[in-house]
Amino acid sequence: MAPEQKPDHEEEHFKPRGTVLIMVLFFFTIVALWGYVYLIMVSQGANTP
Amino acid sequence: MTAIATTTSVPPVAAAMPAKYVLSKSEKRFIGLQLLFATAALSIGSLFGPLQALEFSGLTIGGRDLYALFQPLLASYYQGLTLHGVLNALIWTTFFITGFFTLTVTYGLRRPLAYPKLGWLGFIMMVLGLLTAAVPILINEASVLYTFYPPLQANWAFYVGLVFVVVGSWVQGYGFYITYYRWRKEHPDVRTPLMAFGSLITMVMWQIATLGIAVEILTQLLPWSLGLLPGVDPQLNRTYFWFTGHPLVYFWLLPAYVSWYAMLPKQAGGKLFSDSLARFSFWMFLVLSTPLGFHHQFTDPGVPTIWKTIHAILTYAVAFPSLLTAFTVVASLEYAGRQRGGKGLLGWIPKLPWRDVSVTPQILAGVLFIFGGIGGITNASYNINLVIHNTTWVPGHFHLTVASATTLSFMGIAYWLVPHLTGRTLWAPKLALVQAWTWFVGMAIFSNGMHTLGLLGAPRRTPLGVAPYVPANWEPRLLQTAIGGTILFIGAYLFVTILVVTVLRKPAPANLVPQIPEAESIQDPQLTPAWLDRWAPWLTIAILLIILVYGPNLFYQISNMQNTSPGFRLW
Amino acid sequence: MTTPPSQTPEPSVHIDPYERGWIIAAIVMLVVFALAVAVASYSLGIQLPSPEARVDPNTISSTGPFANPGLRELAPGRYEAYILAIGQGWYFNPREITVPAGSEVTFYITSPDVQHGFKLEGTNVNMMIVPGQVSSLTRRFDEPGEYNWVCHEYCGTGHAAMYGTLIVTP
Ligand code: HEM
Ligand SMILES: [Cu+2]
Repeated sequence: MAPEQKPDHEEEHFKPRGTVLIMVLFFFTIVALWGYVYLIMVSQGANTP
Repeated sequence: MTAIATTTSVPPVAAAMPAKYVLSKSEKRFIGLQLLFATAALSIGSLFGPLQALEFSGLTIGGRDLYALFQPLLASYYQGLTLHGVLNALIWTTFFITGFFTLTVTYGLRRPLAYPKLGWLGFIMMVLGLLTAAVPILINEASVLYTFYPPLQANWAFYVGLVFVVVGSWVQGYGFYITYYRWRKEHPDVRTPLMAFGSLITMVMWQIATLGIAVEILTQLLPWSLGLLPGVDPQLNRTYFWFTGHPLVYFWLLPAYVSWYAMLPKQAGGKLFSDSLARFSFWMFLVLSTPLGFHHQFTDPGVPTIWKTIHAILTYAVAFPSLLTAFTVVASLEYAGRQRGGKGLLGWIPKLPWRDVSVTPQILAGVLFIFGGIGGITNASYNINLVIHNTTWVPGHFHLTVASATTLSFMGIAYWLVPHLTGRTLWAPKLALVQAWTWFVGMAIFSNGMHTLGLLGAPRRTPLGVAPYVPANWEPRLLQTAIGGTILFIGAYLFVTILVVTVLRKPAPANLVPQIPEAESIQDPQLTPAWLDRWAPWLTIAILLIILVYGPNLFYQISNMQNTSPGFRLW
Repeated sequence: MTTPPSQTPEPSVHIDPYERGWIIAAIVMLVVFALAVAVASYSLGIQLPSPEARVDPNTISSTGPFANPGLRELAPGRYEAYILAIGQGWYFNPREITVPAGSEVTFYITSPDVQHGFKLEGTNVNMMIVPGQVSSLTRRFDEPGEYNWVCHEYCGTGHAAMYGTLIVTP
């Protein structure tokens, strides 16, 4: 059921603040997990073709 | 129901579209039949998953290896693994997708398929293809796994069957294009409804991408398996295969995105957060899905590093639309949760309809996909790939993508779609919720075990229970994988059971049967610029980019082709 | 959104400011990742295999360096290891290689039959072995010990048995 009064107004003022928080957590999870494997690679040493 | 709310700011063109479209009986039967084949494939393919996982733990029964018990029904681990990969990753997905897209195109455009017979023709080709490929697999003449790398040589019928499945899906696609073309002529200025839009782009992407395996099979593997060609060039075939192999994963994923963007916001009680960015993401997938297949060949001897580098960069680019999708989908859910009275920074999360049998699986699929996506960026990171390439990390990764983001979303979709098509209500909705959580928990355990084992160096496609080199520090993770895999199996069979019992129920009153959910977007789609709804520029860029980043090396490999490898059957 | 209220607003790409922030963060992250990977490749020397040589899998076991696979010393502490990955019987030839600590070894590997893989425990030596192509990587071994290498591509029913050992002596 669509909200009755001034739906446009309400929608334009919707600020996805919780989403931003989740994305910040997401961001750090990516960096941490990716970084973990990156460090494993570095610790395993050089290869040349 | 106010399906398409016409507010003052909407240009009048949108009104020209009917608010709803009721699928005819035969359309429902057509879609339902495709889902039936899909689910049957999943139910057989999933039988082998826990066997593989339990084998890892070195489980023996009466002193005998697990697989010995199934002889002569199942000749080896690899006959089982071939069935698992082909039935789950190729058949369950493709049949579900063509069925689902028949719905999203017809309902989205509010009109029947222009030529329903074309759809049937495509579907029948797919079924014939499936049966043709199934025979050699079942008699152990095609235990080549779902990547069928030569010089392992399957019976020719396996290759013919695959071609038929793929071409059948193309034919269904042609039916969608004609339907769209007719609709577009009647509605030149209307934005393509999002669910049809995403489905059409996915289908076009698929048809470009599958040219790789079409050429591989028709010019190399099929004549070779028939004895017309004495040998093939294995490196060239890897390149052909991965031309298709990577976009294949987007073919699996994008139908889930279609649901997440165009349906889930409605089901959750909200609206799509951004119509323009949703469309932009789909175009990026059309442009970028194919020209990056060498990221599967980082460790190949026959591909120059410059091309590996270019494809690595493009892979990073294709990560972008998925990161965008994460924001848009979560924001749409936040909007829904706030509409339902959620307050505070995260208070909207508990307000989401977690009791909805279709919403919960899709959200859980999205959560698992976060980790699938992170693993994907890791795989794509050029030399980081050396750490994990062909270890169990890789199956750990794609069980989060194809076996979760895709499969668990499809399960959530099936929970409204199958009742809608059959005019039943879902049997045991609470059990369906349990099923989704079972899959989620089982997958978390299973895939964590597989990823960790991979980092420790365990090779994939290997019955580790009988491998002579397994060090002690793998053992706990092998056990973890076995436990997770068993839970997953329970999840798979709960799903199949719920669907079967649902279909066998008595018809329900129409008002209790779920309707097709179609999300509105916060901003009216008519306000999305026209260039985000035009094919020519995007298709041109897509094709040019493929020519640019595949052309030179492919030309080199083809003109230096050495068909020196005869076929081998080492199973 | 800044569109002035009117009956028919102009179509435009509507990007929420928060979402714009995320877009920028995502792009920055991917660029930083790419730079880190480039550093690992150029400065730390963690590189991928690249085309080495093409061979005929049908004659490889009888002609050329792979007819006598094994270790060759080029100079003190400098070795070449020619290894055949064999699917008919599922083994590597040789199965074992011994070098003194501090050696640099260049692996040359190919197969006379089907595809295989080669991953050396605890290192970034990871390659596909494709008939008709020679796979090659070079690496230094400083730590004494036994390192297994495993075949990581399906090569038939005996695939799980396929491995070998590099022994680094003090
Ligand atoms: C029923 C629950 C499942 C379990 C327990 C399971 C378990 C496994 C395991 C242990 C492997 C690794 C085998 C190896 O590398 O030796 C595997 C491979 C695979 N699985 Fe699953 N799986 C399940 C469901 C699925 C689903 C739903 C899909 C796809 C939609 C899927 C697609 C695949 C694919 C494509 C492979 C790779 C096959 C290959 O390497 O050729 N699995 N699975
Ligand atoms: Cu092997």
